[in-house]
Amino acid sequence: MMLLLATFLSFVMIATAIWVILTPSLLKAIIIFAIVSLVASVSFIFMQAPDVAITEASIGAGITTAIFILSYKRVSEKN
Amino acid sequence: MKNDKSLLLNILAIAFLAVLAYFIYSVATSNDIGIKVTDNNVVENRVAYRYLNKNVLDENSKYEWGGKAEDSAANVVTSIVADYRLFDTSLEVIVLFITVMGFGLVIPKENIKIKESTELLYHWTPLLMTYMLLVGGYMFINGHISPGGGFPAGAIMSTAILVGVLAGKQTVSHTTLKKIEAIAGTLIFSIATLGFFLKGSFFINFLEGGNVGDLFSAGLIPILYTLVAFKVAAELSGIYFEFYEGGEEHDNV
Repeated sequence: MMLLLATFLSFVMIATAIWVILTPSLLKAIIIFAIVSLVASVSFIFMQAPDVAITEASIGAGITTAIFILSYKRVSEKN
Repeated sequence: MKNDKSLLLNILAIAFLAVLAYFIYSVATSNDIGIKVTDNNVVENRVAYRYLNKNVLDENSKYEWGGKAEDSAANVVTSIVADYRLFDTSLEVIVLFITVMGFGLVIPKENIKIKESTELLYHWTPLLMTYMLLVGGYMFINGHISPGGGFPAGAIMSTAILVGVLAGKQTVSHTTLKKIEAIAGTLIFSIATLGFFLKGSFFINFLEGGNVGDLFSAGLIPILYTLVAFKVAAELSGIYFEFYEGGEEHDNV
């Protein structure tokens, strides 16, 4: 059951990663990228690495998204 | 005049590099504890050997009570990151510092006012911030017992400050953040140098180890993690202020 869930999550990760590339809107791409990080952190827990999972969730899903959105806002104000 | 000065600087730089090269050479060829560059050590002194034979629960294992940090930190990852590979962590912090400096250069300095936040965010922000700061604080205090550590704890604490910025609350000023960062960074490297003078190795864990699983154990690791967490939190929060304050010290909400 755990293995099935982990496989499902990895497929979700691949699908969302492809979706990030295909999305025309930049803001949508940033939000979907956060989903990729979140699923990655869950799969790190499946791989018995809670330290890495915490770092991935806080930095990958939290701070990177915040900085990306702030820069997107600043860039779109400029143009 | 200018050429004289640059010549002097060049000589100083070469002298500094020579001292550094000598230091690296002496560390690499010694048989002491510390970083090993050359492979002149016996197997029993290697990091991997100690970790393979470490077992806190089994009394008959080859794990020995030696007062070293790897004996007293319950979280193995922490004792790798904060004891054997503290050079990595400290250099990561320096890389982050340089990144934040680059942000200050690239982001144009304009006065951008924070937009009026929604009523819901404004009133719930203190609660959210308290929760986030509690989680971050727990993480760096318990970094040697449970998963976590200084770097993610600092990231979570800076997220709390980000929520405050988004809600338009006056939390900490940019100068306070810079002071915290400077004090934490100086203390990290002074502790490292203190270890060099006390035990003869940079970044060595010179405090008493204590009981495995206790809050006050693992020697220097909790202290260093606290400092790293504050430094990382101050640096990452500086990025948000870089975006929002735009050169001004205080913003009228």
